[in-house]
Amino acid sequence: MPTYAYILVSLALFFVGCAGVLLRRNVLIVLMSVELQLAAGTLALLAFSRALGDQKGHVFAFFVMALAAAEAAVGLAIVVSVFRTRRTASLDEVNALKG
Amino acid sequence: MIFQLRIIPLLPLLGAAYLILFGRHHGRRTVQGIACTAVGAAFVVAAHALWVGLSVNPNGLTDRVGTWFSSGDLQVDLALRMDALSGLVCLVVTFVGALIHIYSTGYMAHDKDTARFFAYLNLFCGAMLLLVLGDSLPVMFIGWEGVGLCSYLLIGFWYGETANASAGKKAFITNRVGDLGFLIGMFLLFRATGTLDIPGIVDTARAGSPALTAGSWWGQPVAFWAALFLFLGAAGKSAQIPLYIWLPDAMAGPTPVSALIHAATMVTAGVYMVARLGALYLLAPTAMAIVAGIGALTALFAAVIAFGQNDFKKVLAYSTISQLGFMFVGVGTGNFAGGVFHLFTHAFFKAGLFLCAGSVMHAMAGSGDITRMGGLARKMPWTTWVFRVCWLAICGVPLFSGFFSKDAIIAGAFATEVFGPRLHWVGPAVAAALMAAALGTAFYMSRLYYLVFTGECRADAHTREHLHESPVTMVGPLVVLGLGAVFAGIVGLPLVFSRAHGDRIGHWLATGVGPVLEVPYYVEWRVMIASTAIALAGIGLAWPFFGGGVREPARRFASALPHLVAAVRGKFFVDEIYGWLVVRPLRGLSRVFFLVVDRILIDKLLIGGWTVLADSAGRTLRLVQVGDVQRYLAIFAVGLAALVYVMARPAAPAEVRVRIDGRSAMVDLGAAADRLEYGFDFDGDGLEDRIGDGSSAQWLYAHAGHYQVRVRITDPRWNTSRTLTRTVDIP
Amino acid sequence: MNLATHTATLAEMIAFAVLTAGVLGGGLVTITRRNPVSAVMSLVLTFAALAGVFATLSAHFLAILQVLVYAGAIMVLFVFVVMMMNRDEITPISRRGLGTRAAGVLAAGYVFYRVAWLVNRERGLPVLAATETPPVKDFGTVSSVGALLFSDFLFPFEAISLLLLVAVVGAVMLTRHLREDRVP
Repeated sequence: MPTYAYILVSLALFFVGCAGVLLRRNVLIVLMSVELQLAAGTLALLAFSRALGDQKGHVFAFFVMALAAAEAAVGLAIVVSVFRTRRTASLDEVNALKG
Repeated sequence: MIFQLRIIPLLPLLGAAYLILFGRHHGRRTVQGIACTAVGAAFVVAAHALWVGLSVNPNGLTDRVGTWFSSGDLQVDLALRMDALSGLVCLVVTFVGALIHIYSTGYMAHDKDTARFFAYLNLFCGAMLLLVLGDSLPVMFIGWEGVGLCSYLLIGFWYGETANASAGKKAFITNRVGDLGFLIGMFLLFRATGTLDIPGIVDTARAGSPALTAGSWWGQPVAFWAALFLFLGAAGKSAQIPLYIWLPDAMAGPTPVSALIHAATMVTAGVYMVARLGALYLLAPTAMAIVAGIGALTALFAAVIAFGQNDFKKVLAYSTISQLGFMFVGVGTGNFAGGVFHLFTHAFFKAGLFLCAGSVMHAMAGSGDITRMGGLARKMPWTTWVFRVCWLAICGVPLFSGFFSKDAIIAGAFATEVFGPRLHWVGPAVAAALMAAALGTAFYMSRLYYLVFTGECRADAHTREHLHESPVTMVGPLVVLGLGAVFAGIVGLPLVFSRAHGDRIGHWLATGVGPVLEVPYYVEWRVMIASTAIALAGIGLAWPFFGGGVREPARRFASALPHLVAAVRGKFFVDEIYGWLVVRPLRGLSRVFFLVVDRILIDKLLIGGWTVLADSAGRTLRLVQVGDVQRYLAIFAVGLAALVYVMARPAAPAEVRVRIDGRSAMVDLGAAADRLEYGFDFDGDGLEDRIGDGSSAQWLYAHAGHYQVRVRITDPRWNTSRTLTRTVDIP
Repeated sequence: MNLATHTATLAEMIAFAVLTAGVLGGGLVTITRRNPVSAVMSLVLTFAALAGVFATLSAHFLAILQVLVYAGAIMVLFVFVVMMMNRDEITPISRRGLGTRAAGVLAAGYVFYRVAWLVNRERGLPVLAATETPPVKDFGTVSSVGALLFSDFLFPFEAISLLLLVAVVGAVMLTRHLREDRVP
């Protein structure tokens, strides 16, 4: 399929991730939506990599994946830590920085 | 001529500066030595300058230190001049000043603030010398203000007592009111003559220049108004009606201060100023009449008040006010030499009287209540003798100095012709008033003498035991002044006595103040006889009332007319009237300002307003901090969308040209950018009439009219567009 | 740069359609589940479909990695945490600040709409129209990507391993029990 098709899919997937990040209150769902966004980005990377015949895109995507893993780990650690003290996973109630 | 004139005021000023800065580190003797030496040296230099200088140049010596400031047409130099008039007054200031410095070493021996006192005394002398020697009105004004300042500092010297500080304030503020007059007079003179130098003004006046004599504001020339306003300043400084109220209160200061400043020197500054600008006053007879009238009125009024005062220094204070009135009558009747002559003799006997008061109060442990004194003649011989001499001088007993100077004034008032035909009655009127005042003077001074020095001592036993004569440092100057009170009259012997040697002072001053006032012999004799009679009558009249203490006739008078006595003793309640008329409205006004302007306007509005502003801004901005990350991200997305919208729109064309040619209109958007599409709607029907890549289009209108042309620029890549509208009038 | 194109075969189109539907559908399902566990499962499926998409792009190495790392490791992590939290969501979309958030979504949609239009409009561009697998030897395989990783990109490779170390240490630090927390 032509590259632009993949790009459009990547856009749509990113938009879905955005919606999830903005609209869901459960912090775990939000983190998963962030993973969706990262995946969308990876998809765009690979599509252009094929179009240009350059494998550097694959290397970049590899790093993105590693980063996503690290970020998921740390993010989940934070969630667990907050859950321990506040016993909630809802972003509604985590607003201590409210002015 | 070895010394320059500037040394004369400079010596005491430097002494003052040094004592203010470093006086604390020196012992009492050193401080006193520095101060007395400064003034003494100034006297020597002044005497030398006068002796040597005037023999060289009768017009006087000058010393131009430099240009003070110049602005536009005005140039003011810092210059000093010593001519006959300023030289004489200069000598008086330095001589009496030096004597009082010496006296103070004894009087203030137990005061711990020696350095400050002598520093202020020196400062005063320096300022007074600047006033006297100044060759232009601004320089004189420096001295004028300077002596006012020193008066404030010295009256309130013992500032621990609120009353003293208040007295100092009262003096300063009353002086300020007068200073306003001085300033206005200065401005008027500058406007009329173009200069503020005294010789320049005097020459312009002597020439009778129309600049001064012309003009008519409420029927009077410029010279009148200038003279009048300057006299207002003099009235403030020299304690005449209506600005005399500060002088009695000023007695709260140490007695040497009262002697020097409020008897011999500062208060005479007004008289000096009028004499200096005599030529100006001669151009305005009406003003002179006012000066003489107020002087006479003050002389009489103050004398009456002195009848009822029970404080030694207060009696002397009102006496000073009264005698200053005499001086003003002198200069007001054109008898400038006479006024200055009285200034000269008055310095001696009034300072002597004050120093006697100090001596007595020193013996009475600081009290000045004459109802508690009496019979002091036995315990204090030196003081008593000096007091006697000065008392006789001020009463005008023949052959003492006061006799001659008072006579000069009264005779001059009778004989003067300065007032012109319409006001010629002023002369005799003020002369008569002065004679009444002289009678009063003799009476109250005798009352003072009897109550203090004769009869039995009415003080309590403790005080009586400690009565003693004052030390040499105090008695010495007393004696010198007493001698002056006796012999100073020689310089002004009336011409009737000796044509050749008479009126030395008048001839001496002629170079400074103008020709001598000629008094016919018969007037002179009559006045002399009359004033002798008045003096003896006053002294004699006081004896049955107060000889040896308050006697029966005095008590009967007091009980018969208690209201009159109360009014006199209460100085006719002038202070209270002023308080009601002036002080209370001002207080009310300041209260209004305080409440309205300060509290409401500044505090609530200007300051409170800003805090309210900051607070509400903070509160509003706080609403943005919700602590909700998703909302932050949402706003981020909105911002991004706005950015994309702005960036993706096609660029606006540089210019839109609309050309109308008959019925056809052409719209041209300049160079066509590639990848953009243009749509033109000419007839306002919402439909594009011309679409394409071309950036210009033409249309032929069917009918004339007013049309809206809409141009839509589209970027097909982003699917964004921009619309422009232009109106077209088809004729 | 190989920018050759050919018309897609029917099989290719069907495969693409199915896989893409799986990805997008899975994504939509993920964000709309009330139960986090369901969401996790759905996400796993999404990643699996995505791996397939990668494969059609001749990114074989990445496709396998997607399954192994994403679906295998990261999602397992999510499952663990979800199980630990053990809570059920009452309201999937909270009312609080919904207006602002919805506006944000719409704004994001606007941005994507514009970009999508641009992409669609310019699909004639060579880079956007390419369909051929590049003639590079072993494009997208483990060996060729690995070769790149260990030659030109050695430093970033090592750096990322350091990053992973930091992440692990950080995760441990964040979640350890402090002595004071223990209830005796």
